[in-house]
Amino acid sequence: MAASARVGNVLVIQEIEVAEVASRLQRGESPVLLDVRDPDEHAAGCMAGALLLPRPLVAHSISALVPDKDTPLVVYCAVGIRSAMTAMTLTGMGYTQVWSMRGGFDEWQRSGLAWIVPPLDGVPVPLSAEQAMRYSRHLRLPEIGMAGQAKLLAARVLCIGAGGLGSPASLYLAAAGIGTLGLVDADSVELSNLQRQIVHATARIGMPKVDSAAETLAALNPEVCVTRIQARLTDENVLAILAGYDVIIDGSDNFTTRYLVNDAALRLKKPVVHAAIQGFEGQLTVFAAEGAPCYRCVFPEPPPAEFAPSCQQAGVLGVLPGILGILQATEALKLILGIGETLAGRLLSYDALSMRFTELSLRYDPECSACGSSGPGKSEAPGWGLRNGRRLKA
Amino acid sequence: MAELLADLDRQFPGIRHRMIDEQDQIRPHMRIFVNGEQGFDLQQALASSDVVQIIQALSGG
Repeated sequence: MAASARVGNVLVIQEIEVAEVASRLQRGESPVLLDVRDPDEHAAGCMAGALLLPRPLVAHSISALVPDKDTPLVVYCAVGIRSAMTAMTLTGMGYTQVWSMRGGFDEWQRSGLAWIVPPLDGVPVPLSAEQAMRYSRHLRLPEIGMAGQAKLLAARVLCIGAGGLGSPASLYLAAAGIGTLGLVDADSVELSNLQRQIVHATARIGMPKVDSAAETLAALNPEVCVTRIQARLTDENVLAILAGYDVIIDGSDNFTTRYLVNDAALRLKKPVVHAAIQGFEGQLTVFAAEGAPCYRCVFPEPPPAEFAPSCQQAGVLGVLPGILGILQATEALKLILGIGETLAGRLLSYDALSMRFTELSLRYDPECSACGSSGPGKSEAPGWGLRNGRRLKA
Repeated sequence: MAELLADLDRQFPGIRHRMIDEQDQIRPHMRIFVNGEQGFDLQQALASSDVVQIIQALSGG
């Protein structure tokens, strides 16, 4: 039987009957079975061993899935129309042995031939056709693919601060399809924020930052569930707020919050992607909760107020939090996907004036008051967040 | 290391006090790295090719 073929300048679609496909499979032939329906159709039932590649993604992704253009391909959809069009596309791309299954999966089922419900374990969770298109550039990366994108869609990330760092971090995380994005910020948008806090807008001056950010993020990706927490983190609320998330992004603007987040995250065993900025300088690292230094290992105590001016007092280059916030988003995505090497145990120091990134090695401190062998993070003692028996005053 | 800090203080008067306390200890919000590795000892010997980086805890976000 001839497959789809080029005859002169005309592309001829070759169809194959379901009975012929079944007998070929029975004879031990193993053409690639390409299911070009939408993921929800595939999830409801498919031919055993079929590869799911929704039709809109075929031109993008077929060469990664089937690099050899002489591979026999049996393409099917529900009734045989989408598969016929796909067969034409594939023939046009140079695939030499392409058949469209006449009558599609409906005919396959009507003929009483065996089919399966694809298992979810270890197999990509189906995405909708719109999701498959929105995240198509992620799906093409072998490190992410459908399974990785499904992890992102199921992930919960908390951004502490919807300011300089939180703006770019939350924008890219929303664009990446993080399922639930929590935003914690007690402040409202001010004119002086807009030089760097790009998730907000001039028209929204005076609006709570969490509301303003939620509006921008919803416009970018309406699928993302944005949880707005218009509050300052305190000893009383921090555990309850952090507990519902997989990864914490620390983009806060004061030491009190940074130590509080460190201690609570250690207690809850949540990774913190930490960044801090001032002037033209930024610092970035990951406090991985276990097996790596924590914030107090690096800086056991905050500086006295006169040694540590805030951005309001000292100034900050507007683009600086953009660079660091995007790096935070990158580390958060890696943590969720379980890919690459995070910055745990390493501090990345960035100097915008010299345009230099320097990597510094961090040490776990066995005497650390938060994560050391007798530190509160290692026990259930109610001392976490306290220092020398009193509340931390940063 | 101690000599380097003394020299730095000659160039930028007062900077040593911001980094080192009265007990000659590195202040807990300051960290000193030599060739990317954390150093705690002011008596640490330095070679002319060593790179010393001084980091302060930042809070801005």
